[in-house]
Amino acid sequence: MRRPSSVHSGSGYIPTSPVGSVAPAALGQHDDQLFSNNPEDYDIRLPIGYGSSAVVYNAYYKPLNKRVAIKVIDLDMFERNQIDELRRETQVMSLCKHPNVLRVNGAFVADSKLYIVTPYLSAGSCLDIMKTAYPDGFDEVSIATILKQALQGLDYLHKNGHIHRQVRAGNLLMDDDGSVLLADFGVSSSLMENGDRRGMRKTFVGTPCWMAPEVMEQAGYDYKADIWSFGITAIELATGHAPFAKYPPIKVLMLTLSNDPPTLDRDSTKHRYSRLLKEMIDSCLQKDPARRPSAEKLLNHSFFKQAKKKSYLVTALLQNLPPLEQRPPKSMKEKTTFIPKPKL
Amino acid sequence: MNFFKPKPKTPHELARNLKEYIQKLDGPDKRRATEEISKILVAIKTMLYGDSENDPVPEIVAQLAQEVYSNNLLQLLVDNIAKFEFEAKKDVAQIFNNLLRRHIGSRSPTVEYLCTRDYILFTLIHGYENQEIALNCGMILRECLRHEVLTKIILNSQQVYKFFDYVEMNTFDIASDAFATFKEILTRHKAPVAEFLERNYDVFFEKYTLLLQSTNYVTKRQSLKLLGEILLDRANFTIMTRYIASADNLKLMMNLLKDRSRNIQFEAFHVFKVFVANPNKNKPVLDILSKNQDRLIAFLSSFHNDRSDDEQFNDEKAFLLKQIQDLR
Repeated sequence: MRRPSSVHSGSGYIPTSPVGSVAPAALGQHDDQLFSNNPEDYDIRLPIGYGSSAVVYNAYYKPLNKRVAIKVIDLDMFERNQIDELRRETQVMSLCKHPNVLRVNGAFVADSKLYIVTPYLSAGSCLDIMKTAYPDGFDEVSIATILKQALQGLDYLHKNGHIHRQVRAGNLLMDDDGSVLLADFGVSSSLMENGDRRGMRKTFVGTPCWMAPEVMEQAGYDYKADIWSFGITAIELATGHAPFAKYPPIKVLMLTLSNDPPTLDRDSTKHRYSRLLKEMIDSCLQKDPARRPSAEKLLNHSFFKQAKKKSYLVTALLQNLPPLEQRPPKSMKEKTTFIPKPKL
Repeated sequence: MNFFKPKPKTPHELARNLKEYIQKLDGPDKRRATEEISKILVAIKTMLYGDSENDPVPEIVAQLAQEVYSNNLLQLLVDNIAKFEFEAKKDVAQIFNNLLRRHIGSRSPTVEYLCTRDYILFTLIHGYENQEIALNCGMILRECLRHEVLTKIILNSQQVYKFFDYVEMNTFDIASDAFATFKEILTRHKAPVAEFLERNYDVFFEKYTLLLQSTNYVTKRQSLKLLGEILLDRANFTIMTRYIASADNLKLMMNLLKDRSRNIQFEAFHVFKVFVANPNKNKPVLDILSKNQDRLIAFLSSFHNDRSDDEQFNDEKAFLLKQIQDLR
C-alpha cells in the first residue's frame, strides 16, 4: 500500500470538501462482503475529502480490483476515551445492513492509523452534486426521491437503536444508479449500549446549522434529534443551503434556541415547491421533540407520494454531471464547533 | 377486524417452532429454516420489548421465559447463531439480553440458569473467533458480565486467557469489542478480580506484558491505560505492590515513556508515577531510578509541557520530579 503521505505530494488538485460529504460508490449497496485487513491489498490513490482528523482516499481493493473509498483516521489525534467512541461508531456501521445505509467492508489498524473501507459511491454527496450543478437547490420530485430513501435508512437506524446525529446533504451519498445512502456515522451514538458516559469528553457533534435545539441545550436527546436535522436537510436541498448557513456557529446556536423554528419560504426559492413540502418540513422542525413524527410515521406523509424510483435521479440530476473526481474543487469552508458531549 | 391476519402464536408455539426449525438447519431445506427462524425471533423480540402500539404483557413474557429455559433455547440460539440471517443474529442478542435483565424479586432466573451451564458463556467467548458473529456475542457477553456470579465463572476458567489473542486481532471493531469485554471482566466486580489476579499473578502479567509491547497501536495504548486503572484501583492494592516491586516492569514503563506516540507516552506516565511515588521502593527499583536520576529529571522537565491546562498532571509531574531529585 502506498503511504498516504506519498499520495499528497503527487496529487494535482485537492478538493476541499469535508470528510463524509464525498465518497463513494460504484459497488452498490448489495456489496456487503468483508474485505481483507491487509493494508498491502489496497492501492491508495488521490484524497477525495478531508476532515479534522481524517482523510478519505479513492482506492482500489486489489484482490477484486474494486474501487473503494478509504477513510484514514489518525488515532493518535484522539484523546483517552475517544477510542471507545470510535469503536461504537464502527460497530454501528458493521451491525447495519440496509440499502440506504453505507456499509463498511472492513476496518483495520496499521501504525497509529485506522482504515475504514467503504464502497465508493461515484455520484458523491447530495451537497457536492448541488454545489456542482444545482446551487439553488433541486426540483421537488428529486427532493422527494432523495429524502424518501434517506428516511428509509434513518427508520432502519432508529429501529436498531442508533441515532445518526449528522443528517445533512453532505452525508447523503448517491450511487450512479440513483441510490441514496446515509453515510458518516462520525459521531453517531448508540442508544443500546449504556456504558459509562461520564467525564469531560469533548466530542465533535457537527455543524450547529443542522443541530436540534435539545442537542444544543445538552439536555439529553433521542432519535427525534435526527428528525430535526432531516427537516433542515430538506430546506438545504430546496434552497442550496441550511437556514443559518451564513452565520458563525455561536450565532446559529442563539438563533435556533431563541427564534421560531426555521421554515421554507416558498416565495423566495428558485424552483416552485408545493405546500406539502413546507408542511413536511414544519412537522420536523418543532422545538418540542415529542411533537416531531418518528421516521416511520413521516414516511407516510403525503409529500413522499410523489417520490419516483431511484433511476429518476440518474436522469434528473446525474446525466450531465462530471464524475466526482473531475468536478472542480469546492471552496466552501465547513463551520464546525466543539461542544461537550451531553450526558446520556 | 382483519380476517387475513393470523392469530399471534403463543409462547409455547413459538418456542416449539423455533426448536424445530433450528433442528432443520442442517437438513435439505436449510433456507426455509433460516427464514422461519428470523420470523420467529422477530415475534419473540416483539413479545419481550413490545412495539409502537403495544407494551409487553408480563404474563406472556413470564410464559415465554419459562419456555426458553425448559427448551434450552438460549443454548440452541448461541450454538447456531452463525447460521442465522444478519438481522436475526442481532435479534438473538436483544432477546438474550432482555431475558438476562429479567428478575423476579431479587432473583434473576436467566442468571441462575446460566450458572449451571457455563458452556453457554464459553461458546459466547469463542464467538470472537468468527467475525460474522463476534459483535453479537460480545454484546451478550457484556450483559452477562454485569452479574458477578457470571464474571466469576469466566475468571475461574481458562477461557479468560483467550482474550489475550482476541484483542490482538487486526479487525478493528472486533479487536476493540473484545478489549471492551476484557476490560469489563477486569474492572466491574472488584473482589473476584482482585482474587483472580492474586492467584494468577505470574501467568496473567506475563501475558499482559506482551500486550504492552504489541505492534498494534490500539492494543498497546488501550492495554496501557487499562493497566493504570487496574493498578490504581484500591481493591487491587496487593497486586499493585507486587507490580511496582519489579525492576523489569519499571524498565518497560521507562521505555514506553519514550514511545513514538504521545498518547502512549502519556498513558505510560500514569503507570510510571506509581513506581516513583511508592514510599517503599525496593533496591532494584531504587537502583534504576538513581542510575537514571539526571536523565529522568531532564526528560520529565520537558515532558508534555504543553498540557498546561491539565492541573492534576502538572501537580503529579512536579511531585515526581521532587521525588527523583531527592533520591539519595
